[in-house]
Amino acid sequence: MKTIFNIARKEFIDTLRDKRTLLVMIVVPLLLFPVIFSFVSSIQQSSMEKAHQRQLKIGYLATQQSNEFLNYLTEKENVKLIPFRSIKGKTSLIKQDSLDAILDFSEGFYAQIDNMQTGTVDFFYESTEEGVKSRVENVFESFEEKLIGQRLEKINIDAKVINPVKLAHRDVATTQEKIGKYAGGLIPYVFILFCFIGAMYPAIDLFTGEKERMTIETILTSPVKRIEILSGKMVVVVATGIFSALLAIVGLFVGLNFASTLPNEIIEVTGDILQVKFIVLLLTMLIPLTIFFAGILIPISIYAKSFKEAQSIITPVNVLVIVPAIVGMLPGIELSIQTAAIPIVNIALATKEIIAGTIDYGLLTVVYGSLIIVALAGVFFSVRYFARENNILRV
Amino acid sequence: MIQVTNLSKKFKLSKQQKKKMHLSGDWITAVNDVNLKCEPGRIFSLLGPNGAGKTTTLRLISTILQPSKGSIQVAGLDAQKEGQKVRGKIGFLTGSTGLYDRLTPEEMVTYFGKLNSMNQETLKYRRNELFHTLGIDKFSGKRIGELSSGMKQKVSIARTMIHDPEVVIFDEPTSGLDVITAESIIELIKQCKEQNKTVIFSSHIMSEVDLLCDDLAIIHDGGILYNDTMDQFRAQMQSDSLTKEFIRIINEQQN
Repeated sequence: MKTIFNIARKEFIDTLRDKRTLLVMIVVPLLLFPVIFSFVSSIQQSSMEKAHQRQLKIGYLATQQSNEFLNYLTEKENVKLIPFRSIKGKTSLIKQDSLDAILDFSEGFYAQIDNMQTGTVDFFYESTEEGVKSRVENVFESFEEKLIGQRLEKINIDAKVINPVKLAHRDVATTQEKIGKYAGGLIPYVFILFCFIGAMYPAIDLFTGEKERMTIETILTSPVKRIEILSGKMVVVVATGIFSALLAIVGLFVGLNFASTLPNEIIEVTGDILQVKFIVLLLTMLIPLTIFFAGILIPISIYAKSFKEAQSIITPVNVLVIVPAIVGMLPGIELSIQTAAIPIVNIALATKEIIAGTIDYGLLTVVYGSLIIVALAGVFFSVRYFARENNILRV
Repeated sequence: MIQVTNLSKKFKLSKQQKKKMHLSGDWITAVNDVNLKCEPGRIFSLLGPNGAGKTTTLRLISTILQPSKGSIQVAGLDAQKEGQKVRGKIGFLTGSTGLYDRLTPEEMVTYFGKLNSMNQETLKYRRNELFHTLGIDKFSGKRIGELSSGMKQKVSIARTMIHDPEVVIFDEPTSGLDVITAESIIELIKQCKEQNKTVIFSSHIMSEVDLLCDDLAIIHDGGILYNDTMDQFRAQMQSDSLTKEFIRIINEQQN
């Protein structure tokens, strides 16, 4: 045990002095989400503000005089009206960005309204242009409400008469449950991915790197058992994977707080999710998961002759990890006895349920069982592989 | 003492290796029926061209590899049954320094002292002694990656000798080193002999062998072609130089 501790201690020092590993293990998971979220959030916010504040250029047919709606529109919105004698072929001006929209009122629009009929307006716009549709639509809806009010008053009818039934929405799902259901898949995806990436570089460095630097012979000639060497190194690979995954989650939560465009309610709930129970359950799943990952990464790193070869083998394996993690984000797939037995898929789905507070502890036990089995298989495979002299000394 | 009896080592070939080496069989014999005896206080040289089986033999003695056949005794211990204890008696030094670039010399040597189960006090004393003798004190706190090749080789020597091994194995120890650094290795080998240690070193440089060794074995294609004392080798020479004699013996075998 003392020897394993000595080996692990040395490997920790060695790993923490490797800039490449530090970057992948600490800097990227911790800063990625705050940087992405703050960047996206600020860009989104400023473009939304611009879209809602800028003056809209709206064309209309000039023959339609004293247009009550257009007056209403200029009162409510920052709009510049551009009259045309004919609107034929003018829609191309929208495409060229010379105009934001064109309003083509039907013949006798106000007469129809006055006669309790429906007046039609053709509203030409580009849906890809942010803010145009919603700004004009909002004013139109408000204008319509005003007209309805006037009509009802004219015929002396109470507004309740035309609204005989009202559906009052009373959602009993908590915000936490909703986040767990719709966005909870993102959290396991993040930590599964970073758990793998965080363990990957130390694994390559501590096994393939030893071969590349020709230090493997030095350690093999020391009076320690191969299983002690493997265990000491494996401790470091597993610890860095867990550490990296936890930092990614911290980064994700910090990032969400940077995203000022998110509703306050969601930000508050994300804070509530980070409770002792969640962290404990997460850690207990992360430990066997990372041992399983180490069980995949270590034999590959032992086999590879160079850092480059190790990376080229691990890259496709990375996809095999990401795909089941994505399954956790798909709608309709839930934690069941079958999915609880599939590694990675089970952890993604279980985390969603834990976040939503709806986890079934029976199924969680199946998840732990499945993860422990694959973790043990990974350890067994690594031990067997490290014991073979043609694997360790393959150069 | 090292006693090697009827030692053979075969490696299983992968499909790629068979294709690359133009071989049809599944196995290749790296060491074939080798017998050696290295005595304490004497320097034994394993001489042979590249690919002759020198490194494989030394790796078998140091228990990195397991023999396919035969037996190895190191310091009275069976290398196959008591591999861990055997490694505790051995110091292994190669031309490639085999050091961790991100550690300091102090951390590196301390680490190997701990792996050799040395107690804190002995380790500290022995480390200070070696660092002083080899002049490592001046750079003991620097990262190994920042050191010159000469400095690195000194650290490598300290790493090899920290546990004061009974048996010291040198695998082409001067390969790729500059003259000054190579000289420090030659000095170390001589000191080991003076300290009555069992020394075995592999080389393909005849001048080194001539300078250092008491006993000599020439290995080629995994088999021993010659095995006797250096004095006997000189006495039986049919060529006018040691190098020519070495080449003659190899060629004779090939023909």
